Amino acid sequence: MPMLNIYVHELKQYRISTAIWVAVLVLMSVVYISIWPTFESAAEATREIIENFPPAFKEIIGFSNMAFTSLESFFSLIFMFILVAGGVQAMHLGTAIVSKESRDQTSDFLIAKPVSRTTILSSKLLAAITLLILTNAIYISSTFLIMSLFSEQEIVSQTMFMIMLTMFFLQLFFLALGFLVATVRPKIKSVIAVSLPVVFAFYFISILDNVIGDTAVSYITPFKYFDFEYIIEHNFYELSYLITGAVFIVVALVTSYIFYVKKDV
Amino acid sequence: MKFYTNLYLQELTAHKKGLIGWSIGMILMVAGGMSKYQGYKQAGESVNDFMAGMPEGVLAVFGGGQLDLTQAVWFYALIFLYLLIMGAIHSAMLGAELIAKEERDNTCEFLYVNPISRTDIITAKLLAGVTNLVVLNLVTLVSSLLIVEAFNDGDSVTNQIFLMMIGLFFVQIIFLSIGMASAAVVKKPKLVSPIATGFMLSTFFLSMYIKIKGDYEWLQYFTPFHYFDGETIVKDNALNPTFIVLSIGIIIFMFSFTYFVFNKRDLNT
Repeated sequence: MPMLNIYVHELKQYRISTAIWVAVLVLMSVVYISIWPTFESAAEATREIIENFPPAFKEIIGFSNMAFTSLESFFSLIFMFILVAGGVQAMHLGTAIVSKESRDQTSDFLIAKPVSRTTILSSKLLAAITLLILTNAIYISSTFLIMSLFSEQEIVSQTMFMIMLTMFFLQLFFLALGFLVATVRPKIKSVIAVSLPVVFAFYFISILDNVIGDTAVSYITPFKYFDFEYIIEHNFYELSYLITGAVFIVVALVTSYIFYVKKDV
Repeated sequence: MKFYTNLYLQELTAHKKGLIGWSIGMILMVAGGMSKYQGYKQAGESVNDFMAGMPEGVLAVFGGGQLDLTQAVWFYALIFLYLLIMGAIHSAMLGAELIAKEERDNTCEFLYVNPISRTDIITAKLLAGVTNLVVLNLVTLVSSLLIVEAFNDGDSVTNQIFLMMIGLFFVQIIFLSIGMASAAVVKKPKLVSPIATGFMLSTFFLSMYIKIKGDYEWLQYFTPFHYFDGETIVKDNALNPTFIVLSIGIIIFMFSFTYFVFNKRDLNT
């Protein structure tokens, strides 16, 4: 029963900020997808031109994924920015939900109750995952709706769904990282000062990927786990990255539990 | 005067670790970005040949009309966008933190019983903030000059890098002033940083929108990231005077606003 109480309490605590995040993500979809009609009419012609480009050129300009030639490709291009925002949301949520009591100096109330630390952290984790599932459900359905308004072609496809679902996996990664940071670091005064630089650091690493060598670095940053081009082509995710992500999430969460149980709050 | 200097030094110490972290980040970004250039340099030549044969309209679609990636400075101009983002995140958070910190940590009492006016407090904090921005900017300037020159085998690019750093500095000050203004106007200290950075991120996403759409018009005035676009600076070898005036206007407005509001409001102690 206490588990359910904390769970409901945390859901209530973060309903407004989650609603704002969902609104932001959907708004980004609207704004970016509204550009698409300009390219749609020329998509066929553009594709023919690009297919004749030398591979080096496609590589440099970053259009190897043939953006502007189909809605899927175009969406892949803009979705990167939405992923950054979604990453910040998840990292922020994870860090905030775990460190809240020590930041607001309300630990006494929570810890004084006859509830184990493990139960507290589990309730918080479940609440955070619930909020992220809601975020993604609303985001994905709204984006399909937005696309149908702006594009003439058939919209609802498994590929598109799989591309959008990558945000959920990425968010789980950053949620786990947020849990880890919040439990390991003794005191966090400002959550955004932690979450924003961390997510952007991962984003920048993904841009600079081929400095140390493509594959090695791509395992470090979740922004590289999902190659949209690969998804468009194979209609599936690359398993090695899925496994890497899953392993990271499990390790980060287990470590969080260990630290949270021991922590002085 | 003593309190004044003390507060200034205290703020510098408080942000020392952060500043070192951001400086390392900037150096890594410049170094990492430019080492990517090496690989593109050779490929770039075949691309240039190819581009020469393309019709104008097609080039415009890809924003590649002017882009000559075989030259180090063009490549640097692409990285410059990320330097702007880093500078903006740093300064927006710094501006918010400088002012909101006292209320959040309940340290107002200590600070505001000192025999100095609120105006002086803000000024000391503002100077400490600007000092941080200058240091970060100089670190970026020196590392950029050294690293880009190392890759550059054409004409000197010192001038263009200087111009971009001036642009970076404007962006830094704009977001510092926005961070401070948010802290002055937002009542809940916990919400200041999220609001300031949220604002900063929306202008970044707006500039991406403008870039993809390729259609500037009136929207461009709403995002400082567009004011000092690296590719435009390299192409013109100058900063756009309209945007300089606009930036100065924003900065003066935001700082005056901060002083005005902060002097009047009740502080939560």
